[in-house]
Amino acid sequence: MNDPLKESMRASLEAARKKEYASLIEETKEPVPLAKNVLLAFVVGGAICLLGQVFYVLLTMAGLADKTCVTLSLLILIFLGSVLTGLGYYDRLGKIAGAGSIVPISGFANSVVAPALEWRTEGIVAGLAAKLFTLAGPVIVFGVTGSALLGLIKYIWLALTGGAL
Amino acid sequence: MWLDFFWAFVIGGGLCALAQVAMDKTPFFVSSAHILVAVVLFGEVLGFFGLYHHLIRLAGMGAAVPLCGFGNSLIEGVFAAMGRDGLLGVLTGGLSAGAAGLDAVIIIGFFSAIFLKPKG
Repeated sequence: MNDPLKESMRASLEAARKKEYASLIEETKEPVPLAKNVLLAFVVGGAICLLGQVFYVLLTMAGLADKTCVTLSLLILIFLGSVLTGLGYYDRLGKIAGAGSIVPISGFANSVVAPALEWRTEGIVAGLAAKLFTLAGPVIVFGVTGSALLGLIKYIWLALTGGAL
Repeated sequence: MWLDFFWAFVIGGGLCALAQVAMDKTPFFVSSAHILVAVVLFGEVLGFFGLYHHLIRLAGMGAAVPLCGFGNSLIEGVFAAMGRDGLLGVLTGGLSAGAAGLDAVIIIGFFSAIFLKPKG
């Protein structure tokens, strides 16, 4: 059990992992209390959704179909998220709001624009366009794979129980 | 209408707060990619059991704006396409349902990254 070689290997692995971790969180050195983080996420995230609801209500007043209003409101938020990222304001908001600015769709737009901006100097094709999917890639991969697997599960379930699609 | 605003704020904020708790309570470092993936999958699972549209009916944009709404529209798209095309719908439904948002993110994101300069 207490093999000294194994122990030292484990210890050095642990040290390496801690070092990597420390370098990853260098931006957030100061530990912020959970309650404050959660409250900020709630308020900022809620405010972005409220803004979306305001756009939605204004669009329904213009007499558009319900689904169109939802999509258009999301598009406005995507536009705002992209432009504010491009101007450098959204990342500042992200430092305060955490998940409150990441989880709304404007945060998804931010995750697309931010790495693209950063790699623009490497060229439009190999830099900007390639890095556009640094963060959006995983979301699309897991989103598509997850929905396909869940669809397949439903298909098999209905085939076994004799239900209709 | 005012109640709709209230629920949009509370449910939308609540989903973000939930994600923040998950972020802070996870023992290892959680990047924004991790949190976005988790939120999308969360929305897909709720959509799979037919629960997410209740949340949308209550909170409107409060449930549509957080990225779990994107996950839900993927899974609803898959189910709708399965109703039309059978098993092939598993592959055709997801991205076509999320196409408007996804295309907008790519196109607007592309031009924002080209033309804008961060200040400071």
